[in-house]
Amino acid sequence: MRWRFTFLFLLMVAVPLGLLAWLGYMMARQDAARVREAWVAGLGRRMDLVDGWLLQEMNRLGSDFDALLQGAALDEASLRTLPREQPLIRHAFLLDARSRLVFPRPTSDASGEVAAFLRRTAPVWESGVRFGPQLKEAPLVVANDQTLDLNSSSRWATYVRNKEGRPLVKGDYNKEAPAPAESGWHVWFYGNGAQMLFWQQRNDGRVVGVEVEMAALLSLLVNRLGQATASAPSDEFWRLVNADGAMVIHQWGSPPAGKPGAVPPVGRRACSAPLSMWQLEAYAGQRGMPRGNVLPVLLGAGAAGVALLGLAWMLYREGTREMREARRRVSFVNQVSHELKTPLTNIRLYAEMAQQQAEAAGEESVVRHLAVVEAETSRLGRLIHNVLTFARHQRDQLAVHPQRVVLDDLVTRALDLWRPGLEAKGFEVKTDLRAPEPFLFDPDAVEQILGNLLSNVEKYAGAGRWLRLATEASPRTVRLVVEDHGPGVPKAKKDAIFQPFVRLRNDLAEGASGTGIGLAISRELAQLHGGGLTLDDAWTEGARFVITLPNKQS
Amino acid sequence: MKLPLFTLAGAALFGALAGVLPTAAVAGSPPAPASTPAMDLSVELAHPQILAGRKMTTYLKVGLTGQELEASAKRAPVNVTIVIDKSGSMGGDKMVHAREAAKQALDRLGAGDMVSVVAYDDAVSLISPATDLTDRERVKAAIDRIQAGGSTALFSGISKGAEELRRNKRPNQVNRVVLLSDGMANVGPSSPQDLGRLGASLAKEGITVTTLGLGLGYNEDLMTELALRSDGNHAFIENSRDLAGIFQTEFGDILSVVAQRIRVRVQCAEGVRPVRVLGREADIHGQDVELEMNQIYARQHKYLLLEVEIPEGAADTDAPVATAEVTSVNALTGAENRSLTRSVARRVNDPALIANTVNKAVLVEVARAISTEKEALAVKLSDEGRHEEATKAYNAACSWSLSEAKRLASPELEKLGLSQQERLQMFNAGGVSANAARKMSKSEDLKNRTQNGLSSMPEPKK
Repeated sequence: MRWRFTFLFLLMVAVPLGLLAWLGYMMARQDAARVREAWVAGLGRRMDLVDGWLLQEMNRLGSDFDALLQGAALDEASLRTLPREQPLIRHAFLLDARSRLVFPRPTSDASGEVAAFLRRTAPVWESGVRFGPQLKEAPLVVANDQTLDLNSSSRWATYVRNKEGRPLVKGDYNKEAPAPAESGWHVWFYGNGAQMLFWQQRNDGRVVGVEVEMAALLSLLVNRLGQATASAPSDEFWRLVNADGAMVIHQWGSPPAGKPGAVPPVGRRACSAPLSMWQLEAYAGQRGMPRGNVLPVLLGAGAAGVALLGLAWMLYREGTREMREARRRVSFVNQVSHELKTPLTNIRLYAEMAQQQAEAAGEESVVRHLAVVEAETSRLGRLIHNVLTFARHQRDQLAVHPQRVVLDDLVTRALDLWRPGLEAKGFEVKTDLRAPEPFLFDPDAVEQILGNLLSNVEKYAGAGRWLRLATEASPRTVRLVVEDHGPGVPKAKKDAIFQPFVRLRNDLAEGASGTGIGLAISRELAQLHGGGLTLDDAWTEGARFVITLPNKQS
Repeated sequence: MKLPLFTLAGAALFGALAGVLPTAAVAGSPPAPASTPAMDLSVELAHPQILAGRKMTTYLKVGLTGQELEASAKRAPVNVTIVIDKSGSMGGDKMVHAREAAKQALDRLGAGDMVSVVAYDDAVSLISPATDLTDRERVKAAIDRIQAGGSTALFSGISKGAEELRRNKRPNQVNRVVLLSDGMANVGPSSPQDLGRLGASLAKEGITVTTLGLGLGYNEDLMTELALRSDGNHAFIENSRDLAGIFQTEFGDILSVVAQRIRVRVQCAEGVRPVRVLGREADIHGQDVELEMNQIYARQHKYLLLEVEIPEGAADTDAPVATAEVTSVNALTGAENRSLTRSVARRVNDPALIANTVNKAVLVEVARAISTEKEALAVKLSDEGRHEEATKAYNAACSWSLSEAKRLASPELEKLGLSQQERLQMFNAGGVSANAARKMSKSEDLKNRTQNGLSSMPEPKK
């Protein structure tokens, strides 16, 4: 019983709950992965957008420089005025057609700003780069190395400005305007970071250019990024850093939980040319990577679990209610049975005595009445017997006491007791007894079994009006068969009927006539003999119970 | 859509483009209006009389003095951004005083003035966007909400501050960023050079940055460089209680700007060699020396000291030295003023006459500049860890100042010498005291070189 309940509980509650939890976990995990992927993808798009802003800014700046330089006179005074007036220009320079520095003149006695300019730009002139159309279109990089590395001062890159970003001056559009000059950016490293030049080639091959005031450029870009800050999701942290991550140019958003730089960024991308020496980095903010919302999954799983438990509880209550009632009944009967036993015996004794006296007196109707009294008394006695047997069984005190008895005699005697009741209900009783040899069995137990079976026949198989009792002996076993033509037992209930407190019909009409322990006790008693009590499947016309007993002689 | 930021930067680019052409700058400039110029120009020689028959070296001083503002006169409208460091170290009293000082300073402003407030820690935040002062209380309430915490993105703070100024940039306006910080910059470009370049770039846009260093934790190199390159004021404020006074002085300066975009051009006469400019970083090319200043305040005296080499000549002849040309924009009227003065030395044979005619005032400024250079050397040596040489250099600066003070009978030089002695003692005491001494040196250096400085400097401790 116990293990059956455990198994049922596992099957009904634990397994579905476990399954539910697992499903929930998988869903939450998948959801988290999906959310994360979407977030990273979104982050990538926003990085492209931010990079686009920077690029746009550089393009506008390039256009402005182009226009400025196109209109600029190339005499020394004009070139000297440029940086004085323009916040974004630190110094101007002019190269002749053979790429030699004409302004400022690279003299050894140069001083002040000029000397500083020559020092800063020395790597540019030493690299031997020639600014002009032979350089390919941006964003193609013409450099000694594609990756710009701060660690080496010899790294540089030159970018020709994209035609899209340039002022629209086409030869066939306006013949008067100067032919489009090539122009572009040059990046190199000096001192504490990247430096930039903007150069423009004139038609005569001369190149005029300006050194960009990096601090002002940074300030411009930082402010441009500041506009991005407003539209950025609140729980992200962004940085614009130089290539080796050593210097943070700008950062915005909510600072992450970990120290940026210690934890790797979620997203990283190099800025587009000409700012490829810088990188954009994005981190998850204070709350970390966005996770899927597990609450609905948890709630769903929890609710399903609770519903399941409730359902299981209800089913359990329903299933055990009858059993508990029956148990209560048996327990009550058990208590009163002991008290009933003695008076019952006395009633039987005196009923028999009265019957004999009535027979002697020839009072037929009194004899008949007394026979009914005796039958009912024995029925009550059987009931009490069953209950007491069950109680013993519950206390593990059930035992059989074999004696050498002839089974056929026992069957005949028992049937004689039942016959009047059965025939009164119209039963046709047949016997086929073939076990005349005595063997060892407990006659009381077998009588009790037979009594239970016959009682069932009387109660339930009244419609068939047919009963057959048969015995047969083999060298090893003796069988006692009880057949009827009643409604039989449904296949599904074939095993259940042998469980205590299980009754096939639970209708009120039946009343409290049974306790539901008869068959259970019968099987138990048969098994204690080393035999069994089974329901024969092959018999389809009604119910056929077979008691098997070992043919023990000693 | 044109982005506001870029439009402004572009405007600055193209607005300046008109001035690129030299013809436009000179011939095209409108004649100065009849109104009195906002400042006085004086060109003096340390030795108006020089020895004949020899190559002589002397100093030329081009002095500018802002004129007194009439009490009833209107002043130029100002456009100010207050940039406040709200990093963690600014917590407690410092922030309380900073807020109070900023709010009191706001009361000095009036109709037509624009103000914005920016604060920064890890990132920059706009406390109050550029606005006129019709709703003063709202700006003050915004200032009250500033809380300290985080690290210091000084570069972004300045950038944002300048950006707010650009939003409302009009001609004839005094544009000023007032930066208050007590720490190092650790996010964004943070070397003194980088910030100096930013200052130089802002100066070209007519934006001046005043830097107020609070306590002993700030980076004085960075702060002085930023002020120096943008022609702004700088003050070392040891105690946050002095903040209110400093803010008042600073706003007093801002409100008393009489001329802006001052360009001094000294054209040395033929044969005269410009050797070097003392204190300031001017552009020398060929015979020309050029210097720009963002503004001059009422009663402020600013000057350029040029060491010149005058070729030999016969006695009793005039040696033309230089022509000083100063252009400036009147802060109130927006009119461009241009004045031109010639400087001529007389060659004589009598050394006594030379000694008698020596211009002591110029020599005092020269001595001050040299003393400042000597002290700067001491700071540099100390930075390089050469403590003994630094002490020697400090001593040299002191004794130079004091001996020159005696020779020229100058109380200012004596005061300088004595203050240098104080700093020397503090320097020798080491630790916090040396840190304070360095900050004082830097701030004094800036003041002596640019004549910009906030007067409520804390007195050195006894």
